[in-house]
Amino acid sequence: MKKLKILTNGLLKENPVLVLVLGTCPTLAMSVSVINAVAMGLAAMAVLICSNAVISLLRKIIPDTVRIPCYIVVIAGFVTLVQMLMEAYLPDLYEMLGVYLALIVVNCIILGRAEMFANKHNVLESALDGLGMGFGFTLALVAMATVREVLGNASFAGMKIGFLENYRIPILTAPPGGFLVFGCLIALVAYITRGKAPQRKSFDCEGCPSASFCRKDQCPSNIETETEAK
Amino acid sequence: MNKPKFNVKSIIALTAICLIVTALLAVTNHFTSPVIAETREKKVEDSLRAVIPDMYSMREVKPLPDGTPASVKKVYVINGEIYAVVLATTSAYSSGDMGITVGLSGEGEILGIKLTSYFESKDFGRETYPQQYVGLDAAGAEAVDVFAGVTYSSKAFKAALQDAFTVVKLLEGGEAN
Repeated sequence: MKKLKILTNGLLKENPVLVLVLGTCPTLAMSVSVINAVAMGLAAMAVLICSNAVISLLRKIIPDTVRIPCYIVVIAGFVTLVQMLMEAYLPDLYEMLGVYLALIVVNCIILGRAEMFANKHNVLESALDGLGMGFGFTLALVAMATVREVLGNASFAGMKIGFLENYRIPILTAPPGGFLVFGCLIALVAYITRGKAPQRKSFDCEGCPSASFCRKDQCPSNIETETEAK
Repeated sequence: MNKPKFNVKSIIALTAICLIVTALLAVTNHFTSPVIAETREKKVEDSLRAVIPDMYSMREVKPLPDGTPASVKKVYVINGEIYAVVLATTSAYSSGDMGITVGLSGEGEILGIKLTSYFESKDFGRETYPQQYVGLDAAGAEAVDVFAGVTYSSKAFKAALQDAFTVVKLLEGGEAN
């Protein structure tokens, strides 16, 4: 039951794009067409599953002080691997994704899940989390791309929809349209998940990746909190 | 004040992870690089046909003359009289090379042009932008305005075309500028 919950968490309740608002850059850039969205989602999902599993496997070996550089090396390795495989076997898709494929390295969802989940859970749970979050990311991308392509370009996955040709809303294919659709989908998901989505925790030191390096005594937010307390 | 505690274990762990990842990528590269090279080769051949549609013979010029600009990767003689220059511009701003194939007459006039790879902004118009250079010579191509919004790309594109004119000039017995 717990494993099923891990798998389904990323779909709606903790959707990485529409609830956690992570990975916004590729979401806005690649949601102009459904094919791009599916390709981007699957590439990110593959990296997410593999990096989560490997990071979970190595979580007891990696010292705390170098964990972020280690995560980045693992994630960058998998992204490069996906890039090589895609360029070799799916060259058209590789060209379509362009720079955004390489940018998966800095996708907040992947580093975020490594830090928040994979380094605290076992390999199977981490892989399931990667699958669920990756699927959630793909779902959000496809939902956005469907709205933008159908209404903005009168087509779906490259196939023309004749009766919509004269009712196109071209702004939806441009960046402002992307933000508009993104906002509407966030609102829709917030409405559906009323009270079920995780509440934002306070921005304290707990869980901060730099906690072990942090000069807490000189941190402005800490000084402020201490003064208020006095 | 908390000081980061770097120790030998941290260094070993990070180095080991880097080495393993490198090894994994080397193995993948070993299997994928021939396929990638083949795909790129086919792409170049397709671009030659796109640039010179009535191509019936082609011969690669080897070796390239001294003074050939670095962006010129290959030069072909098509149908015994037309030059097709394959260019790849490496720019610091770009995530990948911009690939261009340009067909030039011996007199230095652009007969056809195709942007074969481009990883930057979609606003560049990869099909339409290059076509405005068809029919121009070196001076005419130099006079074309850069494209606002994709200034770096259009500058790199123009510079690459001048390299193509240079190599054709060298092959025709002239001197590089």
